[in-house]
Amino acid sequence: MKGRVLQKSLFLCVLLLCCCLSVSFAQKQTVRLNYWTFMEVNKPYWEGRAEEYSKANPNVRIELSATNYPYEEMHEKLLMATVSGSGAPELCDVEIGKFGFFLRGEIPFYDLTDVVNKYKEKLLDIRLKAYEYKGKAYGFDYHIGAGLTYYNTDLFTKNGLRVDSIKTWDDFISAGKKITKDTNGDGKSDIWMTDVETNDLHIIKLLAMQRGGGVYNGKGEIILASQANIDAIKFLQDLVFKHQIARIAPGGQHFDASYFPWVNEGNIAAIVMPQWYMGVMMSNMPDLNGKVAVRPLPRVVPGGKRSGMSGGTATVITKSINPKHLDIAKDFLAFGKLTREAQILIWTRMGYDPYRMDVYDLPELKKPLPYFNNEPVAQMIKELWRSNDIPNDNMGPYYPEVLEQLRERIPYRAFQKREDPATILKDALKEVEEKIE
Amino acid sequence: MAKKSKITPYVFLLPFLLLFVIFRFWPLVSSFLLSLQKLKGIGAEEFIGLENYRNLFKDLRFTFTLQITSYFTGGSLILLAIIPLLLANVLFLNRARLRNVYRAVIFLPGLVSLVVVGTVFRLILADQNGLLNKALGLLGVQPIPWLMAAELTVPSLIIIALWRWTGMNIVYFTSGLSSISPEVYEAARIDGAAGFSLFRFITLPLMKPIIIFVVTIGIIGGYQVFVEPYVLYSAGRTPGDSGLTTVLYIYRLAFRNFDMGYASAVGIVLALIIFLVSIVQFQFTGFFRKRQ
Amino acid sequence: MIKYRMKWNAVRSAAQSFFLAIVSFVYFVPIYWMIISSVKPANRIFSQVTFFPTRFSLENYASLFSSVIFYVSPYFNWYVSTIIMAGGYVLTAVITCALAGYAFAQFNFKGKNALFLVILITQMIPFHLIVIPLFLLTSKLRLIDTYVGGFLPIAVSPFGLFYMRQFMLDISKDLLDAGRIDGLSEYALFRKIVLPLIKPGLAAMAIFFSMDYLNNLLWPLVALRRENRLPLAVGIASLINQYKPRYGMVMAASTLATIPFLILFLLLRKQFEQGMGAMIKIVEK
Repeated sequence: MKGRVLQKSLFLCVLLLCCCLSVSFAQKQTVRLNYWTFMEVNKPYWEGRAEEYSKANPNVRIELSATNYPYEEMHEKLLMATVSGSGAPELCDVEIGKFGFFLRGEIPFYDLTDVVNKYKEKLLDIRLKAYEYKGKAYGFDYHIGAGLTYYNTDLFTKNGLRVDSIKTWDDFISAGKKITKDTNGDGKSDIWMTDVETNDLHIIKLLAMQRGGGVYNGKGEIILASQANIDAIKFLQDLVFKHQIARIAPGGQHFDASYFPWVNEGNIAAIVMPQWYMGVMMSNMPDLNGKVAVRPLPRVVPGGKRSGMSGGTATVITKSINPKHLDIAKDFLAFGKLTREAQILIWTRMGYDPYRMDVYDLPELKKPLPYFNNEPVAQMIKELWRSNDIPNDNMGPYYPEVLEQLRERIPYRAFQKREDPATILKDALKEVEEKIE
Repeated sequence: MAKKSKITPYVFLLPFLLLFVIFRFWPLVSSFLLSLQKLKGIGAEEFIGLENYRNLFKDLRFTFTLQITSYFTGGSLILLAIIPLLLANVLFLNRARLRNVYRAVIFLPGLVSLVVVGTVFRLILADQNGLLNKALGLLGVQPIPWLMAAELTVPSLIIIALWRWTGMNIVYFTSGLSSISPEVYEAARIDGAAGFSLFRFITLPLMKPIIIFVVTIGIIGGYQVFVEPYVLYSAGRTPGDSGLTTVLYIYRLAFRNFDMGYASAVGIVLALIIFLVSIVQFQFTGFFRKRQ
Repeated sequence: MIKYRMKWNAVRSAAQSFFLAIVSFVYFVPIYWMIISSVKPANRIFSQVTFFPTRFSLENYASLFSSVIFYVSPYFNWYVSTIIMAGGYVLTAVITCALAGYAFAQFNFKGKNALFLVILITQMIPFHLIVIPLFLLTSKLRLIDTYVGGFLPIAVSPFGLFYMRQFMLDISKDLLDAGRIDGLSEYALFRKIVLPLIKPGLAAMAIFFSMDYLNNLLWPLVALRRENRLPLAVGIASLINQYKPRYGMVMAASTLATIPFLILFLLLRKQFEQGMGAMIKIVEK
C-alpha cells in the first residue's frame, strides 16, 4: 500500500518537474542590444519597434538601449570602439558619407546579405548598393533622400506669388528678387529667398545631380570636377553674389542652433534640402506649422531633372554582438527597416521617404500632412520617382573622401571666399586622388 | 651599521619604471613603427617604409595646419610674454595695494579646466548675444562674428590663451623678479638710471632665464593645442577649417579617416618641429652662451 | 622738487592701481558670468546682461541632476568618474614619482645618470605622439572603457620624478644614516622619515597632477566609451556639442566643475605658491 502511494507521489513530482522545466524553456529569451544614432528621431523609432517586436514574437524580448550622439562624435566613437574591440554598440547607424571608412581592412560589421535578399526585389537597388562591398551587404538604408524645396507659403502670399508658378530656376530667381527685401531700412536684406551652407554639402550636391553631376558616375569614376558640378557651384554663387537672393545660412549649417529660430521667424522663403529634413523642420520650427509647401527642385532646363539624392544612413550589426543573438538581431533589423510594415512606419513615424515603391499606393502614404500645407507629400515623391526625376547617387570606394571635400572644403571656398569653382573642384579632386593608391 | 641593501633602489624604482617602459617608452617606439606602416583598416597593416613621410611633404593640408599652429603659437606667445611681464612688474615692483588680490584674481582663470574655458568662451564669443559683443556694443562697436569668420578663428583662440595663461606667467615672472636683489636696483639708481631704463638694462637681462623658460613652455604648449579648438567649436569644425591645428589634424586622421600610420608620421614630424623651434629659440636668446 | 616727485609718484601709483583694477575686473568677468548664468533661468542667459540678475533660479542645477534620473545626461556619474580617475591618477603619479625620486636622490646604482637622462628626455615628447599607440596598447590590454584605463596609461610623469628627486636631494644623509643605525629597514625609513619631510612637495604635486588630469581631454576622449564613465572634461564638451545645447545646464555643469578648485586654491594658496616657487627655482638651475 505504502509503496503505491510512494510511487504515485514520485510520479506526480516528476510530472510537476517536467511541467516546470518546459515552462522555463518556453519562457522568453531576453536580448539586450545597444544602439547608437545621430538623428534624434531614430531613437524613439527603434525603441518603439523593439517593443512591437517583443509583442509579435512570444519567445523573444528585445531590450533596446538607444543613445543619440552628434554626427561627427558618433562616428569617431564607433571607429574607436571597433578598433579597440571594446565598447561598440550591437546596432549602429552609420551615415553614407562615413560608411566607406569602415570597409577597408577587416570589416567590423556582420554580413547581412541573407536578410537583404529576402526583400531585395521590392526595394530600390541603389539604396542597397551604397552599403555593399564585394557583393556582400553590410547595411541597408532608411530612405531615398530625394532632393526637395521647402517653401514658406506665407512669404509667397505676402508678395502676391504662387509657389506652383515656380517651374524653372529662372522663375525661382524672379520670385526671389521680389521676396528678398530689406525690412528694417539698414541697407541689408533681412528676408531672403534662399540660403547656402558653408559647412555642408546638400544644396551643391542636389543641384549638381540635377545637371548630371555628383560624386561618382555609373561607371565608377569620380566626377567631382565635372562640368556639371562646376556649373552647379557657379549657379549658386550667382544666387548669392549676382542676383543677391541667397545668403550664407546663419551658423553656416542647416542644423545649427542659431539656424532654426531664424527660419522659424520666417526670414527665408525656400530651403533646398533632402527629403529627410522634413522631420527636422517639424521638430524645430513649430511656428511654420501648416505654412510649408514641399515641391520638387525647379528645373534647370525644360524637361530637366527635378530632384537629386543626398544623405543616407545604414544600420549595421557590429561584431561586438553575442553571436547567439545574431539571427534575432538580423530579424529585428529587417522588422525595423525592410518589411512592408517597416517601410510604411518609416514614413509615418520618422518622415523619411521609403524606398519600397509599392508602399506609396497605400492609404498611409496618401494622407495629407497638416504641417506641410496639408498636402500628401509622399505622392509627390512617388510622382518624381515614376517620372524618373531622381538621378542615382552612385557609390564608389572613395565616396567618403569626396564627401569630406564637399562638406568641409568646397562650400566655404565657394561661398565665403568666392573662388573660381573650377579651381576649387580641381584642388578638391587632387586631395582626394592623393588618398587613392 | 645596517648595510644599505643593494636591491633597495631597484625596488623603489620598479613601479615608476614599469609604468614608464609600458606606457611611455614602448608607445614611443611603436609610434615610429606605426609611421612606417599603412593601416588601411582594422587588422590590415602594411609596411610601407618612408612613404608616409614622402606624402607628408607633399601634403598641403599639413603645411596649412603648421601655418595655423605657428600663427597661434607666435601670436599668443608674444602677448603672453609681454603682458604678464608688464603686469608682474607693476604688481611687484610698485607695491600696489591689494596686489595679492589682483594676483589671485588674474590667476583664477588658470584653475578653470580647459574644457570649461572653451565652453564658457563659446558663449562669450557668440555672434548676436555673446557677452563680448554685447560689451563692445556698449562702446558702439558692431557685433563681431568671432566664431564664424575664418580670419577671427586664431585670434579668438589667442584671446582664450591670453585669458587663461596670464596669471600663470605672472607667477613665474614674479618669482624671477623677487630673486633680483634690491641692491642691484639701488646701485643702478645711484648711477642715475630710472624708470624705463631700469627695466631695460637691469630687469630684463636678469630675467632672461625665466623669460626663456616661459617662452619654451609657450612653444611646446602652443604647438600641441587641441582642447581649445575642439571645445570652442563643435568637435573642432571651424569655418573653412581655419582652426585646424596640427594635433587636431592628427586626431582626425587617426580617428575619423582611420589613417593611423600617416597620423603617426605627422606626429613625429610635429615633435621634431617643436624640438627644432625650441633649439632655435635657445640659440637666439643666447641660452647656450656662457653666462656673464 | 621732492614734492613734485612725491606727487608724481602718487599719481603714478593711483594710475597703476586703477589699471590693475580694470585688468583684474576683465579677467574676472568670464568666471563671474559663468557662475551668475548658472543661477539664472536658462532663457535669460543671453537676453539679460546686467551685473546683478533680477531673477534667480536654481532650475539649471535641478535639470542637471534630474537629468541623471532620466538618463539625459549622467552628470553625477561624470563627477564620480572624475573623482575616481583623477584620484587614481594623482595617487599613481605621486607614489611612483616619490619612490623613484628617492631612489635617484639617495642611492647610487649602475646606469643611474643615463637612465635619468633618458626619462627626462621623454618628458619633452608631446603627448600627441604617443596617443595612438597608447590607444592601441590600451585596447590590447582590454583596458578601454575602464576606470583604470582612463588614468593609468597617462600617470607616468617624468616631470614629477624630477621634482621629487629635487626635493629629496635636500634630505640630509646623516639623518637617514642615523635611522639606519637605529635598525630601521629601508622601507620604514622611507615611510617614517622621508615622507613627512617632503609633505609640501607631495601636496604641491597632488595639486598639479589633479589640475593636469582635469585639463586632459584627449586621452579620456579616446579611452572611454560609456556615457557614465566619462570624466567631466569629456562630458561637458559633449553637452555643448548637442544640436540643442542646453546652455543653462552647460553653465551649471561648468560652475560645479570649477568651484571646488577655486575654493581649494583660495584655501591652499600658501602651499600652492610655495610649491610653484620651488619648481621655478629648480628650473632656473
